[in-house]
Amino acid sequence: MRQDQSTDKKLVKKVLEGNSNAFKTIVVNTQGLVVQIIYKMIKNQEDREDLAQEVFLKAYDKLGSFKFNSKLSTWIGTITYNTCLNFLEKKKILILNIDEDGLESWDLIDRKVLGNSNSQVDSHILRKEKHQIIASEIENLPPLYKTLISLYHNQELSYKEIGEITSLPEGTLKNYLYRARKQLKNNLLGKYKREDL
Amino acid sequence: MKNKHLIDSEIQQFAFDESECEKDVVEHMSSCSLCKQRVEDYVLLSTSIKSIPDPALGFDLSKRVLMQLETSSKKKPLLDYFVYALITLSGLLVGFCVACFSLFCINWFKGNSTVSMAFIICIALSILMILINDIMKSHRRKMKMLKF
Repeated sequence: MRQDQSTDKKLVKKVLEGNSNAFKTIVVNTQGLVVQIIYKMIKNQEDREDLAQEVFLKAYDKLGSFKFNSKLSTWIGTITYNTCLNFLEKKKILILNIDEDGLESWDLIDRKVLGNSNSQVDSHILRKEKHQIIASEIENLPPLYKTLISLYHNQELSYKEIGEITSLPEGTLKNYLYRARKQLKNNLLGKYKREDL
Repeated sequence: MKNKHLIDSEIQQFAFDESECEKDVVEHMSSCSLCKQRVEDYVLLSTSIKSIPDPALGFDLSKRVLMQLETSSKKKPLLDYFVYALITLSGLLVGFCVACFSLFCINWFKGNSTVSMAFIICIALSILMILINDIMKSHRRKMKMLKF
């Protein structure tokens, strides 16, 4: 973390002195996280491309106000997440649409899976999953769930870092992650059963 | 030790945050093949998610951002001159208005009763307070978004 911070400080200092190559390094280092968040929150490709640029232009403008209380990548991740939130808010798209009935039905599916004792079959199905199927099922999750799953499993960020990006308390964050994984797992198992696998 | 099967959140906690699990959960896991299987399912799901290739934009993002930065920095001085010119013009216009209407304003203030003056001042202050409150709220919201 300390090494990260000193590298961040050097880069930020160079950018503030007018070195555009240093900002290029920041873009290259953090675009993976930025693109990952944008792709999970936003569906339209053109909007994704515009937002990716907007995020870095905002980061450039606000770089002088960065206080090094977190990693630079986390700070840029926060800008990305908030930019996407604002965009979705303008388009009146909900980032999370949970109804209690839905939650109950997930529990029922899970219990049914357990009750039937088909776990070996289910596990076999899971082992057979190709990443395209999982990717398309992740696409069907609400934007917030998609983002949390990708930050935790793809970007391998800690709860603390994800909490900083999304401004969610750790307990809420874990709870959302549990629900997201459960919904994903149940959707996968449900679909495969329907196809009589 | 727990005799009942673990609930889903406990299964996921064991799969991803084992160190945070309660002792009876860990003990149950050591002897229950069904719950072990459920943990394996989640671990497998996690591995599959990790194997999904990262999304990528179809262009060089850094190049495009730097190009935009260069364009906007070139545009800035012109924009600055325009803003300064606008401020100067507004100042001149306000000065002209004050000079023209000062006599009228003085007469108008003298002609009104104290009660109606107090009424006008109260309304003006209320509007001012509402505007300041709105500005503060939006400022706080923006600062919260970049609180680092």
